[in-house]
Amino acid sequence: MRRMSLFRLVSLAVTGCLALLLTAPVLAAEASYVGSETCLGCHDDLEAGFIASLHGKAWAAEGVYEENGCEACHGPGSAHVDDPSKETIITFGEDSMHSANQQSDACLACHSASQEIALWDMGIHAKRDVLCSSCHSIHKGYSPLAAMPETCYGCHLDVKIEARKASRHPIKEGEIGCNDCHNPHGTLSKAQIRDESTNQLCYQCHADKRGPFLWEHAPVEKDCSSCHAPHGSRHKKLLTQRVPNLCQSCHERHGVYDKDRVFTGSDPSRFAYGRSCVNCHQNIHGSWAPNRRGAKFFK
Amino acid sequence: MTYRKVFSLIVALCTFPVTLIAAPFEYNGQLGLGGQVLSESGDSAKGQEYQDKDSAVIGFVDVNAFKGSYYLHFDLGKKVELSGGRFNDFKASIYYNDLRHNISQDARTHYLGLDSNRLVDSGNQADPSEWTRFNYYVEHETFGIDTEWSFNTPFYVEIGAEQRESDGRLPYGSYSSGPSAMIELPAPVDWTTDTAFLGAGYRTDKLVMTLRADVSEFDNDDEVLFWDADVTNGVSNQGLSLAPDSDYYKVAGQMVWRPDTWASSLALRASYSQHDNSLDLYKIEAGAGKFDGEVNNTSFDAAFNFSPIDSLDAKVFLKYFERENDGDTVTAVDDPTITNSLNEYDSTSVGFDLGYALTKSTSINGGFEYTDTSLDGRSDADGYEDTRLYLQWRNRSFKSLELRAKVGYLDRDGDPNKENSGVADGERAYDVADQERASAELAAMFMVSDNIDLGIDLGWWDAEYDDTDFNLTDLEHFEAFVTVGYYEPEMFTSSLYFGYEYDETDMTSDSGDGYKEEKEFDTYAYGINVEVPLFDVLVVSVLWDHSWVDGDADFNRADLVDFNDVDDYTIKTLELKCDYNFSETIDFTVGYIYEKYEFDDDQWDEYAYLPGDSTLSGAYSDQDFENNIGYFLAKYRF
Repeated sequence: MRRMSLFRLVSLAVTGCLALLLTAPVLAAEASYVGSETCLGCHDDLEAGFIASLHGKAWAAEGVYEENGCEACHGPGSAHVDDPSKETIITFGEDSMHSANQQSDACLACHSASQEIALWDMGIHAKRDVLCSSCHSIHKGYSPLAAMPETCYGCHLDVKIEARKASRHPIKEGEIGCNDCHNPHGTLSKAQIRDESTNQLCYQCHADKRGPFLWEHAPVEKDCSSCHAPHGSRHKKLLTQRVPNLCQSCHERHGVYDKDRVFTGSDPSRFAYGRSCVNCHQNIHGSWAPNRRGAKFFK
Repeated sequence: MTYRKVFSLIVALCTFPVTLIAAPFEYNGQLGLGGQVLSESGDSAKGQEYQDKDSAVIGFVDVNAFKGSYYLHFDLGKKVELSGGRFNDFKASIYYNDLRHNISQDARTHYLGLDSNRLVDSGNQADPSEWTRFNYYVEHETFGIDTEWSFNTPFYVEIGAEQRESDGRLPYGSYSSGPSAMIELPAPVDWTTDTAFLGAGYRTDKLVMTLRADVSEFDNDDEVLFWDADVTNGVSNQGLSLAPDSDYYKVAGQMVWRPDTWASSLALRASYSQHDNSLDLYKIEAGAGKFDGEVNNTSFDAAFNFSPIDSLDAKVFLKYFERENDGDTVTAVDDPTITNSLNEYDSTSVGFDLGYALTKSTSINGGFEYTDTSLDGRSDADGYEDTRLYLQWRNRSFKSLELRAKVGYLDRDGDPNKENSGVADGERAYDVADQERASAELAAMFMVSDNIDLGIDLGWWDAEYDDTDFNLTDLEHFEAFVTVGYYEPEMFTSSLYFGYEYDETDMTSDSGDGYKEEKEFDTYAYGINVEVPLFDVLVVSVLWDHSWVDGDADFNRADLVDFNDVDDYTIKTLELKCDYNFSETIDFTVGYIYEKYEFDDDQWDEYAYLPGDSTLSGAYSDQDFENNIGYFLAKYRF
């Protein structure tokens, strides 16, 4: 038996790969629609949940389900009928043989015409290969909308822990959802928030803080997150540090605040105990009292 | 339940059955009815901070109805909402929500006139046990309606309105010369925020254009709080400023275009907003005039995302934001040397993100951003320049393992305000000072087997404020998170998480006190969730969450006493639940919840109402609590 030369071996391998690459699209293109009845022959357990869901109802009303049924999302199924493996049909999820982009494209075929999802391509979730099916369930439940905040906590454990700290927004109680402040499908703002700046977003609920004030506290006007941790904090009032330390980050006044200056110390000071600086400087977000004390946020 | 909630409920309930009965709707949903019992000790305000847990009848209604293209949904639970529409044609919703934020329990004041904007000294300052007792809280009632119409075309119009009423009282701290130097007062909250929006646009898979206008009006019925600051010295009826009325307008437009080349998309966004008010300063200080405030924000953003080859994904972007302050300049009535600053800033950023797939399973991402920020009105700085870089590597070579590593760096070059004496020495606040910030992340997701997965995430960052000669000089943070999921089909599902955070803050004083302070916080959290199905009809679930913080502050001078307890707390939550599937349509749920919160901080220990010549009300004093809640719920599915 003659030994195959290295050159011939490589040539054969390259030719084989090229042939595979060239014929693969043809094979794919040859796949045709088989109809939902065929799909349900094996996957009948998935139908009832989908039909009862909002997504299923919308499809039924628009005739999409009758027209293409399962294959509207999963692609033509004839190849899958011949070879019922995951390679021959579009499946969704981490164990899919299709890339994140290919899976997302199946959803975006309908949903890209939406102001909510328009920026998906350039959002951080798409860049990190997050799948639509990572958050949305199509075959189960009434609404395909992701359950907040549990879905987000699946990846953002740091936020879950923050949101359960002593000082927090009412996220745990379901009064605020992650998507009230963020658009997980992408925005042009940092952290995918739903406004042009952090302050404008916060003012949507906290209109009492927006002013305009006669006496402004400059860092406050620029960025609420200079002082507040929006998801939750170990310090009261969602502060990034407790008072007086937070204030001392920029201001050094009234001396040292050590343990001698608190209620139990030898020299209790209103600058240190209880609400500390805010015991007097209440209007730290701004004041409109037209006097010296207003300028110092006392009144 | 307030009149508004009752009204919403009646309207919704009337509308819904009429619609159901009038036509052969297909409907499904759930009804629930039961009760809960609460046994609580300690601070009820913290124990029920955002949620009413009192013993009561509980229940919910969740109903969906369909007819052809029409759908309707009614939800009565945390909120009352009726929503519906016709697929691709229109949708609408009407909703009501009531959120009470309990802030602090059993506060006291020696002033009369609680909830009014005039607090009168009762003359009984000496004995706190005789003072009026009250709770601090704010209750928000929100009522709104919104709708969107598209009539199965690419065009759409949306319109909505919302009213939010906030009532309650908040602690207000102020200062006066005389015997009551510092005082905490119950300030009334009586706010109404009305908002409305109108939007229109065009949306196809290639082009999405939106234009939206928002208006908002904030109205405070009590803009000024009057109090007797120091009656013994004849200072009464002094005015304190509360949240001022304001109007807000905003117009924003956005366009996203997806050309057919390079799988690209181009996004443009522009917005302009203004909030203004006109304040009668003389209401607070006789002899003062008016203040017309006006702040304008302008923003523009552009981003282009493209993929010239399959393995490369790129984005370039530009961001611009400007805050202009066209308010009046006013001099303090009692000090001609003090005039208000009109704070303004603008910020321009340019940058890019690149992602390149080295192989099918390995990719690298990198990014650069340069930001130039100019400040006007601050005494310490004229602005700063930021340069940010990051690099990320991801690998999924092994089907069961995903690895990710990321490093980042920020260099901030501050621009001190040299007109202000002392600033030339670098005495700037940390947020505008020179800064170097480095960060690193390492994450791994590992499918140990078909039914066990493991996630590990480590993160670290350190910020050094090089040119700040005093106060905050260094921040350091480390975090570690671990998650484990373990599933045994038809036997149980379980998940466990563990988190640890370490934070260190260094501060330095260069004043006559001359000291350094180092604060350290260790934050721990872990939780376990187990669900066990039994006999095909029963699901027993157990959830345990436990988190705690250990903080301290150390000084480098022997005469200063260190803090051992800085915002130390422990939160424990146990939830036991048993779901019994009685029949195809009926479920029963029995549950028990245990919650415990303990807080310990030297700053709050042995809270006193009258330390020295000051008067406190007790806001936030001792908020420890323990709750035991039992509940039962019967659910009917149809």
